[in-house]
Amino acid sequence: MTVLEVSGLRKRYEDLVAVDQVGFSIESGETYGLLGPNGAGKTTAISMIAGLLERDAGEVLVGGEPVTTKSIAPKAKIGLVPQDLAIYPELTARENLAFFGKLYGMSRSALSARIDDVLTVIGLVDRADDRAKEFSGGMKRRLNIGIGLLHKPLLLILDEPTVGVDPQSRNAILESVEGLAAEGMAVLYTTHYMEEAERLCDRVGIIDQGVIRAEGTRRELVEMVGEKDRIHMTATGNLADVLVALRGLSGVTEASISDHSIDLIASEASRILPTVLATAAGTGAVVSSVEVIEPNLEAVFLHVTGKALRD
Amino acid sequence: MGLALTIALKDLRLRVRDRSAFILGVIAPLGLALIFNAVLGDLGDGAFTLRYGIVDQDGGSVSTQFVGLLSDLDRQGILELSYPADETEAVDLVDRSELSAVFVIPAGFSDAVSSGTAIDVRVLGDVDQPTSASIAKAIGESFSSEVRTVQLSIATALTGMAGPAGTSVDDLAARATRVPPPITVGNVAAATRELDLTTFFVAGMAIFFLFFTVQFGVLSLLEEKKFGTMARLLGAPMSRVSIIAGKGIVSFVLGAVSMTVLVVASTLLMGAQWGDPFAVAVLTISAILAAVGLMALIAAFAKTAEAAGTIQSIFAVGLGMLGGIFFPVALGEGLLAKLSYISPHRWFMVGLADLAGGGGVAVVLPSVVALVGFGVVSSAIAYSRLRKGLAA
Repeated sequence: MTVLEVSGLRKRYEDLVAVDQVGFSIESGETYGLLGPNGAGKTTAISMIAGLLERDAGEVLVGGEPVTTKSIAPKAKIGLVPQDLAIYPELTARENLAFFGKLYGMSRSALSARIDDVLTVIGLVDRADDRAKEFSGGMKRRLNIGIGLLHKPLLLILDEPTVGVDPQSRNAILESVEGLAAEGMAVLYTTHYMEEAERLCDRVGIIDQGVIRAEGTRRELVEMVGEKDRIHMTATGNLADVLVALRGLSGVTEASISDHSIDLIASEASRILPTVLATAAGTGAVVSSVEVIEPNLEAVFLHVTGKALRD
Repeated sequence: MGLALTIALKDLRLRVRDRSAFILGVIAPLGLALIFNAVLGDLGDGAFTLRYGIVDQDGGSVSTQFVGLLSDLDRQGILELSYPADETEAVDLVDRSELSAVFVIPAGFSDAVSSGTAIDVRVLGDVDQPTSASIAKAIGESFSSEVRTVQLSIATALTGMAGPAGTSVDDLAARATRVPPPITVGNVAAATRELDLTTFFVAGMAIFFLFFTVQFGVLSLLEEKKFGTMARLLGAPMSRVSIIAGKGIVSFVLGAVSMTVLVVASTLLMGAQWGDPFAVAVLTISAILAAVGLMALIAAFAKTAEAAGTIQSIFAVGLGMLGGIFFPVALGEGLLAKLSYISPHRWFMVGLADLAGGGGVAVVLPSVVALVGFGVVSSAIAYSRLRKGLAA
């Protein structure tokens, strides 16, 4: 069953087109990832999908019903987990859940039982009656997610839910999302972490400058890059000169700089690696580390946008 | 409406948790009432006494008239009059603050009046009792002014037309001084549609403080945005009206609690006379509506909670000043007096003053209509703006 259908989504702020012709769909039980760097248009897109933000063009259907900022019933099918913590610090975890549950029209008896379930899922049973302001960052993030799950939505939208979270809490969050998808929930997950997209998402849309540049399963996307590997090296010196020199090498198809590192997409990376290092050294640069990485979503991002994901 | 109440209850719970509701709704107004009680308590108890002395160095017909006037006020309990032997003793009593002021009627006063010569009653006041001294000065100036009027009338009669046969200047002067006492010091009570001093100050501070109290409800609209929870509210299956109404309810409840505490406390502690309880309730509710509407209007146009709070405070103080709760700008017929009617504070005070003259809701109806008008117009504009402008 198709839970979310998005087509022709567009949003413009004066001269800036934040989202342009974005379209995709998500089936129940599927996790769809929007992968892109900060400022790519992910949050703007999901704000329109969740009915928070007026759109200039396009259509959003959730469970077959159109969603706009004025919609009421269709919004009950959506669970939203905003990027910023959206909880009340002075309320306890249980009170936070109860308040938002009431807004979704849950009856008192159903709410009470469901709150206990959600507290179990997010691992806050023991802290249910503590005020959220006393929680660690990770616990607050989990509560933030729990609120989105409370009313058993058809579609759960998570906007970069692991930003600023410690590794242990991040893993707990990712496990929760995997569990929800396994139960049949459709999940729209935005992130700029390639690892998260690779681990969680059945399909990924690579978004940059408001446009979805590529879309598909991980295998489909990686096939776009072909059998090419990524060479990631850190170096000091004039990296711009290094980049120009490396682009001229046979077998290098893409090259980009970010911070103090250079990323290359190359055929038979292991074979040309000595040439790459020699070329870099020839420009006067000092290479401090080098890594050959088999094709992944980051390589795909570099391939389709011409720049590294963390740019 | 149910969802608006859910939001309002959540906000009130937050306000209780962070103690701001308690501070705003109970502690601050109660503290104000106690401060007023300490400052103005004597006024409320009637212990504020005008202790005056009079030294009549003239002993003539006109000075006797003035002494008689003050004696009448003494008998009525409006002031306490004593008769120092001479000016030296009078000044000594004033210096020791045993008297608030002394009237000195100079020798030759009656003759001067009869002859049309300029002469005044002198008033010596205690610098430590400026209010009592000012009242004495006003009485003295008023009497002197009336005397000049009499002199002018006589002069006009003598120069402009022939005097009645057999009348002399002395006769005319004697007749003139027998006219009813020119000075009246009335009891500023209900019958004159004026608030007593205690009620005036308490009511003024109540309406002034109300505008700060109601800020907190409407400001939380911007705080929800600041803290990220507005995204959840907008994403929930409810109309934006519920969000806005919820915040309005919080403002109204905080305002109502604050006003109720202040009215009850000032009545019990200070003897403030607010008037008919039902009419006061209607007037107060109208004032709260006006305050909520105007503060919501500012919040609707502000970009941040901090900016809104600053602008709201400036407006609250400005409207309070214009409304005459600090200075008597509403006195007279000047432009400022007319402008004062654009302040809800002015209408609230007018309503209470009208109520002081007796009567019920009908008496305060003009003020209620004006205040509700403020509330409805400002709320409508704020709602229109907020409905379109609410954003995560």
